[in-house]
Amino acid sequence: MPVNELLSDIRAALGGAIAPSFTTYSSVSDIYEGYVFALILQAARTEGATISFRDIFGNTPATFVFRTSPGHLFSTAQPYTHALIEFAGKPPLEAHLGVRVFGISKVLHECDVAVLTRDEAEMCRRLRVSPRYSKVVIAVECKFYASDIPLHLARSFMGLSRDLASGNRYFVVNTTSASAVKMLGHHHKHGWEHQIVPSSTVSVERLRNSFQNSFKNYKAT
Amino acid sequence: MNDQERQAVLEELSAILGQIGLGWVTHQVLETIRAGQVVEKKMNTVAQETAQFAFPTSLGITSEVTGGKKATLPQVIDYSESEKLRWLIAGIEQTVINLWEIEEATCKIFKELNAPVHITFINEFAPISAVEFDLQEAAHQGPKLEKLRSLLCELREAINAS
Repeated sequence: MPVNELLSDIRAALGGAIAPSFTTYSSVSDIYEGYVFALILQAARTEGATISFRDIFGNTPATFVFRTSPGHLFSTAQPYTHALIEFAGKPPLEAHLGVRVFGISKVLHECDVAVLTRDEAEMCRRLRVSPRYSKVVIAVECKFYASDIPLHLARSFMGLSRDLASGNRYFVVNTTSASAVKMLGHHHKHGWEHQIVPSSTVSVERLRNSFQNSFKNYKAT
Repeated sequence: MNDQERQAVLEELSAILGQIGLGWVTHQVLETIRAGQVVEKKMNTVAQETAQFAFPTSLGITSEVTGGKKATLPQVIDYSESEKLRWLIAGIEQTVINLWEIEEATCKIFKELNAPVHITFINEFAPISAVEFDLQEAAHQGPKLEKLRSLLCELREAINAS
């Protein structure tokens, strides 16, 4: 097919395949965070948890309502939804999207996906404060990119990870980048995964296993 | 296809993306292209450099450099026209095709968990800009995505054809 015709067909095919929500970068990032949130819940269930869903008022939601930009866990501006993760004989956990967490330096950081103890979440809602890093069991920084991940994103994750203390802090991206991978592999041996898209089954499985391992350790404590 | 034609295709494809609201894809791909690629090259290192003030040179500085041992050093080089075009095609696949697959996979997991498959993302400070996703829509995108995938594949082959 001549290139001009090919481009014209691509234009038509793209037009038919684009959801309106794909046209803003923030929406695309949001849906990616939703995917990683789902992978965490799947890992928890595999590890034996019972999963249910609540909104900020304690009701079971008919629709998920998530934050599109980071907010406070205690906000009642919208009926934001979270997942309740319960392991037998262990204090329950909550999984949230886009909440701010206090780091070691007492600075508020954004966690794209955060799993924390329910006790801490309830205290935050009651006292209108943000959760402390020490109560966050899993924190994930998600990045969706159309191309290679810029190096500065990996660098800022390393800083974030330090301030949220080590262990179960993950940097999850849909693409890759030779430089970012080199740096993360060198300085941050654990807690990062690249090429996390459904078709990369090996990478997705490895990430899910890492989340599962975090839950296994939580159950053991 | 020669380099001039490849450049024209890149511009045309970027324009198409801009027209359908995917200008951010082009922007991110161009970021990667501008950064160039790092390659490791064996080079002669500089063993000794002596800078001394002397005149009348234009900078007021002269230096003596002697060659040292060979070493493998990282160097940034530009991408070729065909590589640039391949980056943009990959960017389209990453966004359009992968995003639908991500929605479909998320929907599958949520269904397994008896969770809602309708999501509303709301900024608490600007609720008017809420974005809604019906994850079940992704299941109907298969044929469209296959068509797009095969067209992009054909374009990739055309880039390599001389």
